[in-house]
Amino acid sequence: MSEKRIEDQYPKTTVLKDGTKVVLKTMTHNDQEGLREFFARIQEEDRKFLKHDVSKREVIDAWLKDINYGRVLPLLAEVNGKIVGDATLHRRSSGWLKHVGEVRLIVDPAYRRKGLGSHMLEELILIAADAGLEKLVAEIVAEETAAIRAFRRFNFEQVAVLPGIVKDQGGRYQDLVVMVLDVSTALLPDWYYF
Amino acid sequence: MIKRYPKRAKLRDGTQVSLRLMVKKDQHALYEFFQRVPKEDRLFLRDDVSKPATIQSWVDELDYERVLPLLALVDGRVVGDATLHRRRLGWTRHLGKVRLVIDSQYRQKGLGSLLVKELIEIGKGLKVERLVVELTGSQRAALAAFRHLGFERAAVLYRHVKDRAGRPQDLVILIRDLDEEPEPISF
Repeated sequence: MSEKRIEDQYPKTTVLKDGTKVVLKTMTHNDQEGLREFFARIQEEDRKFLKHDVSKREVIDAWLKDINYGRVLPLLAEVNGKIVGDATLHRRSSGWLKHVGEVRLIVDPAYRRKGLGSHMLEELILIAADAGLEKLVAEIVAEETAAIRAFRRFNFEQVAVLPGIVKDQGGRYQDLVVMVLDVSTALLPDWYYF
Repeated sequence: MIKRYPKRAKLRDGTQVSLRLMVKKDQHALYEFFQRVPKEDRLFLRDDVSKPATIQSWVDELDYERVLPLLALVDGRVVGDATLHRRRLGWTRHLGKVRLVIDSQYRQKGLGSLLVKELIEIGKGLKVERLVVELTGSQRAALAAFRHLGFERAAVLYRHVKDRAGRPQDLVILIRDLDEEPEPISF
């Protein structure tokens, strides 16, 4: 991504509000088992709101097979070698959405409300700014009100709601909220809590 | 579904076109087709079609379950490409995304509508629940054509995409349910 090589900026260590030390790093092929264990810890109730069915082995295998940081940058958070968060920045190399990145974020339930999600989102916003991206998009199921509030704190704005457009892993139709951040107006406080 | 093709059809001006699914040997013809597509239209495509490597990767990864490309040909030359994109997994697994490119010399002859109608039938056959298409607010003719085919505006993302000159344009998301036939639009 741009001049600064993303691989050279990580790993980074950060400390959460409760004192937990977290290592942020980019995903590599060695993370297969760790990712499987991470997603197994995400409860079914949460998993159904994810874009992909991460309980399926083939989903994670496909991610690892196609690692290309310029297209999808996966940032992982680890505590004592255990993955506790996964944040990804998706980009297009050409076309009308070249200036737009998409962010996706999932945090281990045991590590929520400690500011981890906000830390990871903040990293992605900084990476996006370095890469010259102008906008970030997040697509969130409408029922995920805590996540919507968290994104709003960074100045993401709700720009559209697509009624009943997504079908969750449980087969129910859900409204999808599209949120957009103008990167130049991002609010980047030191600390926020998910 | 594949048995539907090849198929012949007549455009509004009498031109005979043949419709069929893309196969690996279409690589060169497809590349030439995209070279003829005006630069401002290439922008609306997900991939950079000015690079031969892009078309090569489509051919290498040809998988109708994921991307179903329907071609329109006149005398062996590709004049239209309509694709139906699907995901096997995830929360959009019931949706089909439509992308459409028509040779500039074959516009306003009903070719785009013909191809989209085919994709609607294909989608129904594949149990796709809804079709989604994304256009810019400036693509007036295409917006009207999709509306006429039963697509409804689901959202507008204000100044979300950029045209070739770098100017922001609205992104319009249109959706058509495949399980119910829309009321015919009267003019």
